[in-house]
This record gives sequence, C-alpha cells and structure tokens, in this order.
Amino acid sequence: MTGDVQTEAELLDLIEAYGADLAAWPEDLADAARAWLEHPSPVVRAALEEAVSLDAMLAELPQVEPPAHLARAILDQAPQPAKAPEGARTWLSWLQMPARTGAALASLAVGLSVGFGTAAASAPAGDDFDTVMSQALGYELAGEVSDLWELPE
Amino acid sequence: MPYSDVSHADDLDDIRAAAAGNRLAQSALVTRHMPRVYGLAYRMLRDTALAEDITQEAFLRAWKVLPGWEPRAKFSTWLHQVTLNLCRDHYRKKREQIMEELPERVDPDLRPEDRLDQTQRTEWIMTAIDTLPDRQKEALILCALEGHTNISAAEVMGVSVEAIESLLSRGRRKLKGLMKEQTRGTGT
Repeated sequence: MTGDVQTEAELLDLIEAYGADLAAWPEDLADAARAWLEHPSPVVRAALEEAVSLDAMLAELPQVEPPAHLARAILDQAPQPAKAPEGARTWLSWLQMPARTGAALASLAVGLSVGFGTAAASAPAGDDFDTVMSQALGYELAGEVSDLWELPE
Repeated sequence: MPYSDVSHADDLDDIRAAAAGNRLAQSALVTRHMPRVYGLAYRMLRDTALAEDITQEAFLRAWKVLPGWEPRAKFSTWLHQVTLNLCRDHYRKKREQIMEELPERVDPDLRPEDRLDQTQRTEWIMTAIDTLPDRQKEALILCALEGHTNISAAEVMGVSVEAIESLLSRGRRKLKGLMKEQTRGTGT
C-alpha cells in the first residue's frame, strides 16, 4: 500500500497488518492514518482495541541477547591482513628489531669503519692485517687474529 | 531506531577495510549486525545453539564475499537473507512438533496472582508465533520483533511490500484467533 489511506477498509487493513501503535507503522502510512484516528468510527475503535492486546503480548517478548563469546568466534574466522612476500618480510623484521639492538649494531658498524679507515691511513706501508685490526679495535690482541680467523692466503 | 536505518555508508567503508583484514572494521560490522542476526535466528528457531551456528555461518559467508562486494547492495539486507535461508532449512522440520506443544494461555485481565508469570506468557506467544505458516512468521518476526520496516522486510524476504502487509495481516489475525480461543478455553 502506498502512503495514502482513502477508505476505512484500507485503514482496517493497515491496523490488521501493523497493529494499533502508529510508531510501528511505516511513516508515510502513519501520517496518512492520523486524521482517520482522531475521530475513529466504532468499527475502527474495535479493531484498535483488538490490536492493542496483541501488540501488548508482542511487546512483552524480551530482547534476544547473543552470548558473549559469539563475537570473538566470528572475528576469529574473519580475513587476516595480506602477508608481505618473503623477502620483504625479512627486511621488515630488520626494521622491527628492538631499537637498542639496532642502535648497538649501528654504533659497532660506524666504530669499525672509522677505526679501519684511521688505522689503514696511519699504518706503515706493508703493515699486515693484525696490525690494522689491533689499531681499529684500539687494543693489542693476545694472539695473531689471522691465526684465529684462518684468513685465506 | 529501525534496524533498516543502519548507515549504508558506514557499512561500505567498513566492508572495504574488513575485506583487507582490518580488525577494527571487522569488529564494527560484527557489533552493528551480529545481535540482529542472532536475534532473527533465535526467534526463528528458538534454539540458542542453532542460532549461534547460523550466525557464525552467515558471517563466515559474509567474510568470503566482502572482497568482491557490490557497493549498491545493502549489507544488512544480504546478511538477513542469508540468515533467513539458513533458518528455513531448520525450522520447517521443527514446526511439525509445535502444534502439540502450545501451552494454555491465561487471560491477562485476571488478577495478578492468577496470571501466568511473564516467562510463561513469553513462552506462550513465542510458541503461538511458531505455529504460523513460514512466511507469516518471517514477516511478523522481521517487522514486529526485529525492527525492520515493511520495505526492508520485503527486500529480505524477496517479496513485494504489499505481500508483506498481507502476510502481517494474516499472521496477526491468526495470533488474535489463538488468543481468543485460549481465553475461551480458560473460561474467562
């Protein structure tokens, strides 16, 4: 039915379908029915009274509450974010390392490169690897580094 | 607020994000729609375990279709259509048992001490609704209990608005008949 109530029979049909409470009606039909309900005929009044008792019964039905765990169960089945490709994940894991570890590794790298640069520049010509390494680290090694590391010939 | 007033635009934003795995968007969709889906399933079947299963199944299907979601489609309507179809498989079997179970109803105009308590009245009306033919029951639950407008209920059920009105009229008429019959049966 469109938003128009032309006859009492139409009004009775609407009361039968939607009950006595205009708040439960489609808005356009409720607006159209208001004029009729200001001065209802005995037939309309009887239909409203009959509808009220059913409305009351339906209104007594409690709201249905879903169990608390259901939302979690549904979300556990939800799509996961797309995973990055393997290579990208490796780089990402480097980015995600704890800040202190990263800072320490960066300091070590800078320290060693500065040390090597300085040592190589200041070492006499023809100095061997052990001398450069000792000077880069800032202290004398107990033994020959090349012995420990078995440097290739 | 009628359920059909739930914002379509909000749903679309959340659908896009949820499809990409955004947990907040998924949570928003579940919070917005799950109680009504569960409510519909429970009122149709009156079985909490089945209602849970059907709610989970409806959302599982939703998660699968989200990546290709057609923006013109309304998520709430689609979700309730799926729920209703899942319920139909179950409640047809169950309805055959109901007619024998309808408990006696006591006239609410009796003195309070003579009345059934609210739990019994609730049980009576829910059982009475169960006796309605499938389509009448669906229309009544969607419109009178789950807050759908006649238009959104028609979309969910795949029928015209006129058909919804007719189903509601016949359903309510039958319930009123049962109420009268029961009142006569109790001699009041």
